[in-house]
Amino acid sequence: MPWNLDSDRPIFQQIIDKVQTDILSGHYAPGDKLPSVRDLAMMAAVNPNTMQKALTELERIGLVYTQRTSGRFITEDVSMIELLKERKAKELIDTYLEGMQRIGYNRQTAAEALMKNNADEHVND
Amino acid sequence: MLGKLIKHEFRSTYKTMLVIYIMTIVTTLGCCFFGIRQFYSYSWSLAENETLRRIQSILGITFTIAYVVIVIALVLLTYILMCERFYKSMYSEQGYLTHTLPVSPLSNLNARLITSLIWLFVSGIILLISILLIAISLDPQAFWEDLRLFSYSAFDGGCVYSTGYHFPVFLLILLLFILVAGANALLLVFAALSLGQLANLHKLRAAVGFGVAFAFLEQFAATMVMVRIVDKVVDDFRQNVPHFDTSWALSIEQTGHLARVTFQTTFWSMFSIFAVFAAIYYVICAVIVKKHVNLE
Amino acid sequence: MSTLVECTGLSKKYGKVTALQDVNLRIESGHIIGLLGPNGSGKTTLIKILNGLLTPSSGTVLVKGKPIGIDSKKVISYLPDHTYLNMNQRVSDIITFFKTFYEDFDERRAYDMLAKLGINPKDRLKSMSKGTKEKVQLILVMSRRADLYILDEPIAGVDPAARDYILNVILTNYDASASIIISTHLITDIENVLDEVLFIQNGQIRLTSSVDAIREEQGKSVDALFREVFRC
Repeated sequence: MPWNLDSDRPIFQQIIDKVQTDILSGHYAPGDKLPSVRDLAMMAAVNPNTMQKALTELERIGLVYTQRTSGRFITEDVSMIELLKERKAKELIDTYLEGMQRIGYNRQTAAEALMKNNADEHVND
Repeated sequence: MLGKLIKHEFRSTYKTMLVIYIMTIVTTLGCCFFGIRQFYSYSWSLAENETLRRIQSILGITFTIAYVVIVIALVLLTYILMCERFYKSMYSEQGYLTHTLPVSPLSNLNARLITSLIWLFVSGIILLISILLIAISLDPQAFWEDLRLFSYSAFDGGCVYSTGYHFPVFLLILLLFILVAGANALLLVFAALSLGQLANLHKLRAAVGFGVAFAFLEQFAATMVMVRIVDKVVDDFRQNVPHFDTSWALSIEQTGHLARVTFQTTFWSMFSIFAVFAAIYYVICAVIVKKHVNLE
Repeated sequence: MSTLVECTGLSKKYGKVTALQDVNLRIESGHIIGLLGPNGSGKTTLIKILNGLLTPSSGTVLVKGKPIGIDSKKVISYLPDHTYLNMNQRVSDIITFFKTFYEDFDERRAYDMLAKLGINPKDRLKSMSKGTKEKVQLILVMSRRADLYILDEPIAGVDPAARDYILNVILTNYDASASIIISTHLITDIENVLDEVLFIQNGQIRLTSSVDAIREEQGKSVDALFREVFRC
């Protein structure tokens, strides 16, 4: 099953996002070995060069490291992953707030709505 | 690479040719046993019984008809099959493969020409053998007697007398002639097909047009040359027999001379016409396969 | 990275009709390139010239520094937009043929791919469905270890499953030292596997760019850009 990629953002950025999400969601644990570029490209149904570029970028920001002989691994630096998590969370919150503000909420009421929704869900459970 | 191409051509054609040859051999043998001989000699029959005799006569007629068809079709069919294969492999969609192989365009052309020529030749030989077999079956004694007489005259100066060549040399130039004539016939169609495929529509119709034009030109050239030959033979005759009048009988010397001059001029003129036209057709094919392949 | 193909001032005229006009083009190794353009834009003419099936009216083409000929045909593996094999042949016969004439043909690769698809190599092509025939042709072409693969409309008229299979075969057999040119007018379907695109229109190259550059700079997909450039 090819990865779900948008058609208007650069593919390599979407790959980076996807790998980051996979790390945060626990699909990849710290220190896990990544599949080869070719296999990843096949899984995603994208150009191997693009995959290579994305992995190089992930390496540059420190989420992934290469061992010369045995391949690519997810970083074992848990603080890095925490940092990434915070940043991702902030991005998502910003998006949420932006959307809420557009329909007339402010930060306060938006937060309340969120909590209430949360409570409702618990009741439903 | 030419060798590999020729090998591949044979691999793609031998099954069809084998079927044709086996059919020829079967009808020939059938004809030898049941066919023509029956008409030739009423007394000859395998069967005493009336029903068997009837079956035999039906077989005989069937084989005879089949044989006539085969004799006419064998070489012609080979020729048609070879031309069809040339067109398909060079100019139909299969041309996409043929012309992107890492071989020179001329190798592609030569491989098809050589293979077709060899099959035509083999068909000719099989036809000859088949006719000889029929001849033997008709009357073995007469056949061997005729063969003996023929070899006498062939090796005993008869050949030199009437053609100017010793028998082995005569066979050799005859072989050469057959090859040139075969190449001419094949290349005429190859060139017509090559020119025809230049058209964007109705490629085959255009090819037929070119073929007819070539055949006409060749015929025209042959006629022109023949007229010259007759003149030449007459001139030669006048020079050698200055005071000829119809009451004279020609000496053996003179008859022989006349025969030799007629044979040699005719033979070599036809040979040259075939060779020249074959060369022209070849150049046309070569230029087109090199630069002007026009696949759909 | 090295230059695989270099076209300089390439033109092709059919009588008065100009199919290609002054095309200058350089293709490096290690890329999957989309040759994109509407029907009749000159894609197939360019491809036929690269494969030696047409002679250009003017200009030069060099493949690995050599003119089109035996040397270029040795290193280019070409999938035409037609079925082009002799339908009477068995698949195994065609494999033997390819092995005989192409030094870079990898027989095992071909048989492996056929086995994965459940195609019996002893079957004749004419007994197969259109889709299977096309797959066999793709397998043959991709089983060569060529420097340049040229695939003319490989996904035109195939169902989505077959398209995924085709893209999979292309990606599996792609070798970083080779390049692949894929001509198509169905861009969305293959956009993700391309890294470069060539837009061709009326016989001229309109645009050469990388897919990500188009998305980054224009904020739109190649397909959207294509629709914009070639708007009727």
